[in-house]
Amino acid sequence: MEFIRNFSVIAHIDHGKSTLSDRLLEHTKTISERDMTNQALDDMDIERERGITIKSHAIQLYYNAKDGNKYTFNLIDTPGHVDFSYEVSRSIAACEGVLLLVDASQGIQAQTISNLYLALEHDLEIIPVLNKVDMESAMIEEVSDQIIDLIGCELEDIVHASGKTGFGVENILEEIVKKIPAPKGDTEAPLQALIFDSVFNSFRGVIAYFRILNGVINKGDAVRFVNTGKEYHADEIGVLQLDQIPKKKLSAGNVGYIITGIKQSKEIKVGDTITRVDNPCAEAIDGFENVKPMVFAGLYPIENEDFEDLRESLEKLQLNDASLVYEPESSIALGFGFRCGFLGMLHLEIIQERLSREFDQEVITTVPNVSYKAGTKKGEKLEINTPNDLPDMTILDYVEEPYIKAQIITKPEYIGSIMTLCLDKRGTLGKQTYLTPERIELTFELPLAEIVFDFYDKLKSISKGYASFDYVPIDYRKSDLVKLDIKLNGEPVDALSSLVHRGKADSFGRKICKRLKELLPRQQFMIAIQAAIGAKIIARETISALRKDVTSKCYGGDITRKRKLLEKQKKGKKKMRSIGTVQVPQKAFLEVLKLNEN
Amino acid sequence: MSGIYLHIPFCKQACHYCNFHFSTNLDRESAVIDAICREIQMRKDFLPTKKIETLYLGGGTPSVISEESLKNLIAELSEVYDLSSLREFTLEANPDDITVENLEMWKEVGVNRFSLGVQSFFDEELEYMNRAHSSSQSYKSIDLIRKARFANFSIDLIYGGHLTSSGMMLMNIHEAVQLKIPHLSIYGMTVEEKTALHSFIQTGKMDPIPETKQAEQFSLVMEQMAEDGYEQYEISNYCKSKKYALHNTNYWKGASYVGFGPSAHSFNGEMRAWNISDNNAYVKAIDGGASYSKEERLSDKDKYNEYIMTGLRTKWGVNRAIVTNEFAAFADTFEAGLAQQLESKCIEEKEESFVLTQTGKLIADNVISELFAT
Repeated sequence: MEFIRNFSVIAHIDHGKSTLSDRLLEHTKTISERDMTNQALDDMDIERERGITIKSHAIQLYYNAKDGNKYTFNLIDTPGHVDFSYEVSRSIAACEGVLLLVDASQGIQAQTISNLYLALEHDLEIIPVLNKVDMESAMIEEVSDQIIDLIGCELEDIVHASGKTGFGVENILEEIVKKIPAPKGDTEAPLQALIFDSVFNSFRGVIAYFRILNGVINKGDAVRFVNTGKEYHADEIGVLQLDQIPKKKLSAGNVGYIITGIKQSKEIKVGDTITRVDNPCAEAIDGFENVKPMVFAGLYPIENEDFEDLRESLEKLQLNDASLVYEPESSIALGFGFRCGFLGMLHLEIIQERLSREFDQEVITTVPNVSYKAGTKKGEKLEINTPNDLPDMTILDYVEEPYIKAQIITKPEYIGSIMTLCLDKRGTLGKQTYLTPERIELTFELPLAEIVFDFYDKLKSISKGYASFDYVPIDYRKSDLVKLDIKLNGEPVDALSSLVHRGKADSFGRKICKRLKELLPRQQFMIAIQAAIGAKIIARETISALRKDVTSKCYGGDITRKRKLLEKQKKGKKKMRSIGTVQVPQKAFLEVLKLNEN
Repeated sequence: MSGIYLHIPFCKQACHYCNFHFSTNLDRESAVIDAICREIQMRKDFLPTKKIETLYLGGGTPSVISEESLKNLIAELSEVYDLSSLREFTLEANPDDITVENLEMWKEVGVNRFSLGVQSFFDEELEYMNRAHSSSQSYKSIDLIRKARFANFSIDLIYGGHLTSSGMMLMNIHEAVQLKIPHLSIYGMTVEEKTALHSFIQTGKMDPIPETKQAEQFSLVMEQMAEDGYEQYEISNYCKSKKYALHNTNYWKGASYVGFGPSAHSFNGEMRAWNISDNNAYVKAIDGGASYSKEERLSDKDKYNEYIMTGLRTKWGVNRAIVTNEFAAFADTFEAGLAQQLESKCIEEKEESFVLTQTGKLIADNVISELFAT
């Protein structure tokens, strides 16, 4: 145990975490240069392209340190986005130390800070690393000051590195040996292992990654997952290098994997505790949570007959993404589809993109909403995941909506406009802290629903990109919620209904109508677009009928070209959904949510 | 019925709205004419018949080529085809090329119909279009054509341009009616890509043309022409006394035709072919024995769609029996689209055919695509 070091890397998107991880793998010869694809730890195409890590990963490295000893390092890579903060917290709980990686040209960002707080809560040793020091735009002194202010270290504690050139990698490895404590734990105690991630393998089923806090696990043990209460047979255990290396036995302090023949990811809960059936531990490891989806939206196949295919694709996605939940629902406008729950908006986008890439399935997504709690006058308690679930106003007693605590880090010159934005989003200001004279941290409490729509984009544009944002859910609070319906020539389009705060309904309704006016093609007749709360119309736009759409010349040479043009026009129409007599292009359902005011 | 189209790719100057293929460099005339003559020989087996009823010289501006060139072309055609039952021989001409001498020469080679590019009787509009002629030349040319005893001719007019008010457009029609023009082609000003007009609009020198203006003027054109006793037998074509343009009507009725010259198209019932549209590349390919055209074999669906498209644009419309007999696979598509368009009054039934209504004509492309098979 003395020669084991368990650590993870905390960094903001683009600060070079994956590249630096690659350099660590190279330097320790865990991976040969020949096998190196960029970002070896990011398995999914989508992760490599977006440069973010969606799932956690873990890998074991061996390092011959200058003190003459050979160390085993377990590098636990964490997801880099706010939607996955619970997974991050479990990964951090599996470590004794973290590398705090900061881009020398960009400085500390909100996400870095919230993850850093998680690490501090777990009393982890922090090794500050200033990355990309070779870049011309590097502000080494300024960013060093930020780091010192934030974690209270000394200037000489900060390791300078460049993931690109490999500069500083040796120093980082030495610091890990010297500063991060070896794991503690009692190999004689009953088994207590923390599951911090799981992956799905189509041949082997679900593979859970764990960190053993106490005790020993052997191949063939009968094990119990404490929180789910389920028991399994440890078919295979081992450690994670670039491939899985099976072992007979793993003991306290180690990181490894277990295969038990579980077929579905949702059976394994990240944060759960593995123990042995014959000698169980007295209690589960702290911090387990049943992760609940925060954002809901309907996903519908473009062609109704693809419904079963979509179900299969969602089933397969759920195998390796337990945080995705779904159940069938139907819409008058869109036919049969699924109401899906996501961890956040990025998670929604990722699922959409994976459906398209991995399953060649294009879907229509309805207006997303958060999950509300409602009570009726009869005292029933309801969970509202779709606008149609909202009880009639006459029997509705109250609605509660989820609130978050948001951290925004920015430059002082943008405070004014960011405050205006957050107050406009029904936020309340918590505290303001100057991290350095040039960086300020603002804390707000905001309804989550306000973050779902056009918050990131606005924040980005008003701060010219100099604001970073992170949040944690805090609680549910009373809210004045109404259901906003959209009608086309009098026909309600259920797929465009949404739940909004009463104070926001008018402006939201106007924006949706305006946006639809841009998105719907003109037709042979006039189209009225209306936003309504109950019977009351609160906004209206009109699309005039097509006036002239005719080719003047159609002679011998024009026939082929013209035919192809009109065929294309017809194909476009086929991709539309009919709402009454009004044709709505599929993209309108997606694009209508991009409500930028300019 | 089979027709021949000759594309004469030369013009004196470029009109601002034109995207047809032409060159203003007349030095290459003989080389291009020689190549066309060779193409006539090379394509001689394209049509199912050698008997030709219509001949059409378009462009470009066929009226700019020399007597020698024209005679060479006709001689070459006569060698391959039987022109003895030719019913219509149309020459596209610009008013400034109409002279007593030219008219005599054209009569001699057999021309019996002109399509005259008048476009407008207002000089400011002609200037805006960058036309080579003036309105007085238009009046004079019409007079000369009549005096040379050509009974059948057509003029082109354009509505909906930047300068054209509804009043001007009605004045143009009024002039044509006064002049007792037997056939008119009246086109909406269309901003085609790769034209001067397109770039003027792109660069902000001119505003885009509002759709409402075009719609309004098209409606007025249709109403006024009907009032003056012209029959609108195709979206943009009007005539008196059934003086239909035979060659063009054949295009819309699915007859076969062969086209010679750069950018010319051909159709033999089963496939459509189109030539390279660059003069030099065309000559080079013909000289070097290289491929000078591309072709496409029509599927049943293509044939059905073309029938709908060309049929609906004419007064003859589309016929249910023809769809049922010849395009049975698409009968359901046809009926579904038809029912919808009858309901919205864009199509009406007339003498066992289905034709566009006035409303339907304004949005013909939209209506046609509704009946298309995909």
